[in-house]
Amino acid sequence: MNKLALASLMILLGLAVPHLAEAVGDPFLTTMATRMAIMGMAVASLGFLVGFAGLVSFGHAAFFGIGAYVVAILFKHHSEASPIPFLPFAWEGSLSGMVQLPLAFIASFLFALLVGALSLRTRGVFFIMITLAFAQMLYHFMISLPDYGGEDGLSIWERSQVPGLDLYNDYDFYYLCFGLLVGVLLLLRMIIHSSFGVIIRAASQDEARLATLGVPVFRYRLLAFALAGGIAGLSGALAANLYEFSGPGLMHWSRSGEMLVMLILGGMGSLFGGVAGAIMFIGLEEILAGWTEHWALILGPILIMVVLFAHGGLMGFFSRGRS
Amino acid sequence: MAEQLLELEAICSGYGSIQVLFDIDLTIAPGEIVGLMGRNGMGKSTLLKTILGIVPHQQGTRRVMGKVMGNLPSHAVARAGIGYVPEGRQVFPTLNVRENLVCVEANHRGLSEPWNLDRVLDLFPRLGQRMNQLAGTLSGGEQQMLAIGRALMTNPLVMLLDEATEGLAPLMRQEVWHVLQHNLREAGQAILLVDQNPEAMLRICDRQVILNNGQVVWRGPSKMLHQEPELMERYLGLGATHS
Repeated sequence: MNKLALASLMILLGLAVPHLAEAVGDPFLTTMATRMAIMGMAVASLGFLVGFAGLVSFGHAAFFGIGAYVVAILFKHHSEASPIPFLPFAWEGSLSGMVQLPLAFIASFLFALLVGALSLRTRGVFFIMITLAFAQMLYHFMISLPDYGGEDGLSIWERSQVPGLDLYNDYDFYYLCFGLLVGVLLLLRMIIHSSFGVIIRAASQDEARLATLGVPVFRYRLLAFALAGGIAGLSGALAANLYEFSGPGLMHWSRSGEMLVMLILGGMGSLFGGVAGAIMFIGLEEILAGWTEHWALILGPILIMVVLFAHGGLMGFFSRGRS
Repeated sequence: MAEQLLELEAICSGYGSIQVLFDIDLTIAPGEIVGLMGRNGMGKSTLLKTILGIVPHQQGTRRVMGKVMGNLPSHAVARAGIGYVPEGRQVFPTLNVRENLVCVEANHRGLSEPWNLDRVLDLFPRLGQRMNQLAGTLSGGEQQMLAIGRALMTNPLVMLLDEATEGLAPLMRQEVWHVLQHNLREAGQAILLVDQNPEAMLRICDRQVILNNGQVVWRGPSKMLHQEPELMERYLGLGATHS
């Protein structure tokens, strides 16, 4: 089966999820699939960084959290009819998804630009540590803001308003997340095969060699880093709608670690690896949590086995099977 | 066009505390082909890397088209007009041939016939047959063609070639030299060449610079070096048969 046929099959399967959930009499499966689509989007953006740009970021949850906070803060000020204090102009937020979602992307993109401008001057383990440090700084910063819930975070009483969709309807919400996931995957695929993507991939192999061809590698990497941050922010905005909550816990280093685990499970060398990892991780979590509260004790050895025996994660395993 | 494409004045450079090059002066004019000769370990490759900024210079001045390069990073020097084919091919192994050729910062520099993908494939038709093949799976000679083609795509004013034709079949080597000599020279571009084959260097290059222990010990027209068997023996280890 070629890649196009496989992708078409996955899209058809994705479109059928709510109907399948209804058929088996378990509508909760639609909510679980929504979570998978949201995390799949965030992990795919991390996969773009790790697998294609060669940048192992350990602070990706920070961008995810910023996206979630954008939705929560815009909701809070809108519902209280109070102006947002840190803006240079008077604005009382918005409930519109057409405002919240793009703003979540832009805010995360800009923060990623700042983090990238400083962290991309380092390499290897130093880059991992600096991205982790930035994410933890942001985590502690949000805890220190009592106006935005401090450690308790912010509850969201009203989901984003998207024209033509009712996000309180599980179907509508799922199709929004699924549609955005497909859009993000297509965008990333286009980028990876563009001249920008070629340069990003070449830089992951040998930065110095690429520089001798006149390529300002830093600028390309910075843009890739910011783009991945923006996508994580968009998925964070969707997560805030799903959980009807945003809190500093979304930015904690353990969430960044969880994203890396999902990526390793799914496979780093493929764009769909992040999505496959999110599906496997969340699926296993749901199944194992039904058996025991110590589900992580079982998930741990599964992860070790994937790393040891299925190089390239799930996608690597399947592509070897096909070849 | 500036009088000189590349000017080096009293360049000193090396690796950390180890100095390799001492007070190197060198100028390259449009259309010139200059050979850099010397035994192994005398600083030829280090000089090429210093010109590009891969090895930072400790003292002296680098100018490209009269513009001082200062401590500009290598990508800025490359954009100013320096092309580089490094020793040992150095293609991007997991990118395919097409991707290896297009991952350069395109700059036509107002040339009447700039190098582009079609022109590189005309020069190396074999690459055209392997466009979707991963570069790491090409033969040594094909990788060498790819490295040369990729450097040509940057349309350099001065091409630094560090043993660029190693691994190529003799006929292909002649073809590459012929094309580089005529096309670059006619377009007013220049070459600084390091090669293991002294006969080829004496035939191709207008003049030679000999490095010994990081210093320039001789410079002059290739014809004149032919008449200096003692020099050839002392600095290049070549016997009278090469003179």
